[in-house]
Amino acid sequence: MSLGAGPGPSIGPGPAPLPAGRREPARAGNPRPRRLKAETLVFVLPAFLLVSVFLLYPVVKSLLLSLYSNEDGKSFVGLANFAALFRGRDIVNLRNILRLRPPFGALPNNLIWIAIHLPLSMSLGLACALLMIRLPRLAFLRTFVFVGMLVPGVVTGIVTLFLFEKGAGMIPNLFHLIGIEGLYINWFSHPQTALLALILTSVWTWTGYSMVVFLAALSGIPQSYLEAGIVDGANAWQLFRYVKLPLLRSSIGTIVVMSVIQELTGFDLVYSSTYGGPGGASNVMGFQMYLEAFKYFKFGTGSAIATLITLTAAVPIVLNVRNSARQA
Amino acid sequence: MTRERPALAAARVLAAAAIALAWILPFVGIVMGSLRPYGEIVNGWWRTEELHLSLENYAFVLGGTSIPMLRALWNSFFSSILGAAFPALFGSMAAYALARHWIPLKGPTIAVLLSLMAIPGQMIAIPAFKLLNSLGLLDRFASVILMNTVTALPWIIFFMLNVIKGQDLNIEEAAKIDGASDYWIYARVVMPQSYPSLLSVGILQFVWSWDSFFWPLVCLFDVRKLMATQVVPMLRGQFIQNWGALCAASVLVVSVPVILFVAFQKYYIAGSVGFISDK
Repeated sequence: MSLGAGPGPSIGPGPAPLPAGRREPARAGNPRPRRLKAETLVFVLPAFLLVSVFLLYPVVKSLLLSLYSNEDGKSFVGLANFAALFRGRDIVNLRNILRLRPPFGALPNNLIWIAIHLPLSMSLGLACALLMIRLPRLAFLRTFVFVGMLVPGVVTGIVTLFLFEKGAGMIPNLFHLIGIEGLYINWFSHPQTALLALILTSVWTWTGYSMVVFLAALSGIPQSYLEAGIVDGANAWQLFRYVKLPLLRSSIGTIVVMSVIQELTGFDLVYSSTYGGPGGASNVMGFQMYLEAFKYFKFGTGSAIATLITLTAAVPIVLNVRNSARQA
Repeated sequence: MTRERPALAAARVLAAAAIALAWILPFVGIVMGSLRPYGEIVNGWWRTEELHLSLENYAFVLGGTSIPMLRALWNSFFSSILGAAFPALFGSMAAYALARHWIPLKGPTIAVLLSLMAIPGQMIAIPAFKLLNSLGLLDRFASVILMNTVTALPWIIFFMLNVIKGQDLNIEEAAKIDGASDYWIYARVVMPQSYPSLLSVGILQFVWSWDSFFWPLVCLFDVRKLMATQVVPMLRGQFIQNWGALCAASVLVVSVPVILFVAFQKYYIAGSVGFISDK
C-alpha cells in the first residue's frame, strides 16, 4: 500500500471496494447481495474488536487524558498540560537554545534528529540503491546494508556505546588517527556529541530501509524510458535528474513519512544507551513520554506528549497526501 | 545500452564493497567484543597483538547472571511466534471478508485502519496499559502478545487485502458453485494461493515482535518473564561497560532475526517493501 495515495481504497490491484450503499454491477453468476452475512462477521469480528478496544479507543482516550489533570485524571484542565510542557525545561529549554548550549529539550532534539537523520539516511539509501542496481551479481552486498533493519533498538543503543567510546570505539579512534583530538572522547558523555552519536548509529540501521524502497522503485522503471533518454543524448546525471528522480517521487514521499514516524517515536535506542543523558542532552519525546507516564505516573502529561508526537508525525503525512493528490 | 568503460565498472564494484564493509564493521566489532576478553578490547577490538577467543561471555549471559538470558530468549521466541501467528490469522480473515464480502461502511473502515497504521505507539500506551491492568493481564506474556497483535493488525489487514484482491476470482466462484462454504473457500482456496505473502507477513511480524521493547518494558516485571530485549539494558545497568557481556547479549538478541532473514530473505524484503509501497 502507499501512505501517499491518501486514505482512499484505490490502491493495489483488483477492483476497488465500492462505496457502501451502491450496488456492484452484477457479475455473471455472482450477484453479490447487499446483506451482511453471518460468515462475514465471523471473519471480521476478531480483528475489528481487538483493533477497536486496544487501538482505536486508546487513541481517543489519550487525546482526552491530555486535557485532564495528572492528580486524579478526572478534573478537566483544558490545555494546561500542554502549557506546562512548554514551561518546563524537559521539552523545550528556550534559555539553552538561545545560548546554543545543550540540552535543548526533547522536542528540539527530535527536530535535530529529523534534520540530520532524514536527509542523511535517504540520500545514502538512494546512493546505495543506484549503485547496487547496477551490480546484480553482487546482490548479496545489499544485504549487508539492509541487515541494520533487523537490529532491535536496544541493541542499536549498545552498538552506539561500543562505537563511540573513547577506548573501545572505532569512531573516536578514527578521529584520533586523523588528528582531530577534539572528537577523541566518549561521545555519549558530552552534551555536545551525545545526541549526534545516537543519530549517526540510527542512520546506520535505517539506511537499508530507504535502499530497498528505492531499489524496488528503480527496478520498476521501464528500460525503454532510460533508452529513450540515452538516444536523446542524456548523460548519466541528466538521466538521473530528469528520468529516474521524477519516477521516484512517490517512494520519496513514503520514505519521508515512515522515517519521520520512526524518528519521532524512537525510544529503545535512547533507553539502552544514554538514558537521555548527559543532563537531558540526548532526551527525545518518546523517552520523555515514557518517563512521565511510566516512571512518574503523570498520565495527563504523558498523554499530552503523546498527542504532541502524533500531531508532529501527522505533518508529513498530510503534506504527502496533499502532494500525491495534486499529482493525480 | 552502450558498453561501459571497465574502469567505471571496477570503481562501482569497489564502492559497493566499501559501503558493505563500512556497514558490517560495527557487527564485526560486536562479535569480536563478545569473543575476546575485556583487556583485549578496551583499547580497540581491531588490535590483534594478543588474540584469545572464547565463549565465556556467552556462557555468562546465558546462565551466569541473576537475569539469565537463556530463559529470556525462549520467552521472546514463543511470544513472537504467537505475536505473529495471531495477527496473521485474524488479519488475513478480515482482509478476505473486506475483499470479497459486502460490509457496510467498507471505505471508511479501510480509511480508519490505514490511519491507525501511522499512529505512534505512545498514543495508545497509557489507556492500553490501564486496560491491560484492569483485565489482570499485566506481568503475563498475554499482554505483550496481545499488544503485538493489535498493533500489527492494521498493516497486515491492509497488506493481505491488496494480495487477496489481486487473486483470481474464478477459482473461488467455481468452489462456490460446487457448494463450498465461505470458511472452506478462505482456508482451502484463498489462503493457499496467498501463501508466499502470508509467509512474508509472518516473518516480518515475528521479527518486529522479537525486536519490540516498549510493551515488554511496560508490561513484564518478573525476572522469569522478561523478554530478551529487556535483558540487554538491564545488563548494561548491572555491568556498566562490561563489553564482553553486553556484546554477547547483543549478538544473541540479533542472531535470531538475522538467521530468519538469511533463510527467508526474499519474503522478508517483499514484505518490508510491500507494506509501504505499491509493489
